[in-house]
Parts: sequence; structure tokens; C-alpha cells
Amino acid sequence: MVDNIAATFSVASSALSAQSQRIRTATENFANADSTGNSPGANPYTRKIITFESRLDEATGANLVKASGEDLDTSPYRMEKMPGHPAADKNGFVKLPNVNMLVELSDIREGLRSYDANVQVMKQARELVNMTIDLLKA
Amino acid sequence: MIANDVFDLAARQSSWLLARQRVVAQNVANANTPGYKAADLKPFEATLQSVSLQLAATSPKHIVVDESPVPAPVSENADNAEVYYSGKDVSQEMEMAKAGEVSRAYALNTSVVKAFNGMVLQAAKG
Repeated sequence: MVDNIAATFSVASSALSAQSQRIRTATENFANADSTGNSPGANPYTRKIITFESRLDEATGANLVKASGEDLDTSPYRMEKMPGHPAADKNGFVKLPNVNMLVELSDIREGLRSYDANVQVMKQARELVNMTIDLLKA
Repeated sequence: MIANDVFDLAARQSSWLLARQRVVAQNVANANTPGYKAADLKPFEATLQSVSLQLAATSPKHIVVDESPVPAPVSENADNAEVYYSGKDVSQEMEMAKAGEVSRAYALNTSVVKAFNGMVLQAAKG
């Protein structure tokens, strides 16, 4: 019985840390949306993608969620003609990061929503514990 | 004594409800995990009615107890209710509704226990 509540808390907190890691990665992409290289033809900042995986926790028997690592986005860089730029190649093109600000913003928002949902679950579990404790006050 | 049965039943239901809360937490946490399918518990009634032990009738002379007229035996622990995966993706709204349901049922459960506890106390005090 207590196991289940403990498992609820550990599942929800694993999701909280996974979602905050996701928001961090999206923020990193967002902040670096214009980070170019500084030598001719150098690669700019590459967008990072975070992936989630479900992992069985042996101790509680619950499926925790884990951010399983950062991968680099393989989509092509944006090219813009800026001949005076230090990172411009011989044709005057500069590689800009493959970051779409709108996508990052909506990813941050989705992460926030998921974070909210997990906090809600934790609150509800705490309410259940409180109700149980209230039995003693009867 | 009826009150004992009530406490027993309430304890079983509360452990089932807590197990369900755990499954809901698991679903919400894995809502963004690729390939994860939503899970739920078998209904409490089904868990309660499931037979835990049945004597094997190895000879035709053995009497097999008919389950229907006697009160259904109760499975040992309700929180071991079978978890099944629905094969559907997680819907946050459904999970929130489920969590609300668990919370309400738990509130009802604890207030019933409280009421019976008060009655037992009153009877003991005379």
C-alpha cells in the first residue's frame, strides 16, 4: 500500500526531471538560434534533440521515465548570404543553425504542460496520504 | 461482526485505489515516451471476485464447491490486481479524470471507515 504511493512519487518525480531536462535542451536551442561559427565555412550550433525512454524500476516495479540522452539534429543548416561575416565561405554564404524558434517554443510549452500534469499527480497522491492520516484523527 | 468486514473491504479497496494512482502516475509520466501504451488496472469488482485458492478435484468422489451460492471468495491482495496495457496512446485528459475518480473514491472510502470507527467506539464506550 505504501509501496504504491512511494512508486507514484518516484514515477512522477522521474517525469519532472525528464521534462525539465527537455525544457533545458529546448532553451539551449532557442538561445543558440543565431550562433554561427567564427572561421570561414565553419559549422554553426547544431540543434539538440532529447529522447525519452520508459524504464522499469526494479525497486518499485513502476515504469519510470528517463531522458535517454541528447542527439544532434541531422537536418541541413540554413544558408544565408552575408559576405562580410567571419564565417562566410568563399561564395559569401554563412551556415546558420538548423533551429526553428517556433518549434522550440512549442516544445518548451509542451514540456511545461507535462510538468504541470505530473505536479498535479503528485498533489493528488499527497491528498490520498493526507486522507489516510486523517483516519487516525477520527 | 459486520464492522470487521467493512474495515477489511475498505482496506482492500484503498490498496486497489493506491495501485491505480500508481498506474495513472506511470501513464502521465510516460505520456511523451515514444512507443509507451497506456496501462490500467482490472476493475476492483473483478479483482475482488477472483478466486485465490480452489481445491483441486482429483477424484470423482471429491465434492467441488459451487461458487455461486456462497459469498465469493476474496483474493488475497487487491493491489496485485492485474495491470493491462490498453494498446492506446496516453491521453492526459483521461488520466486526469482517472486520478480524480481515484481521489473521490478514496475520500468516500476513508469517510466510511471513519463513520464505522465512530460507531464501534460508541458501542465500546456504551
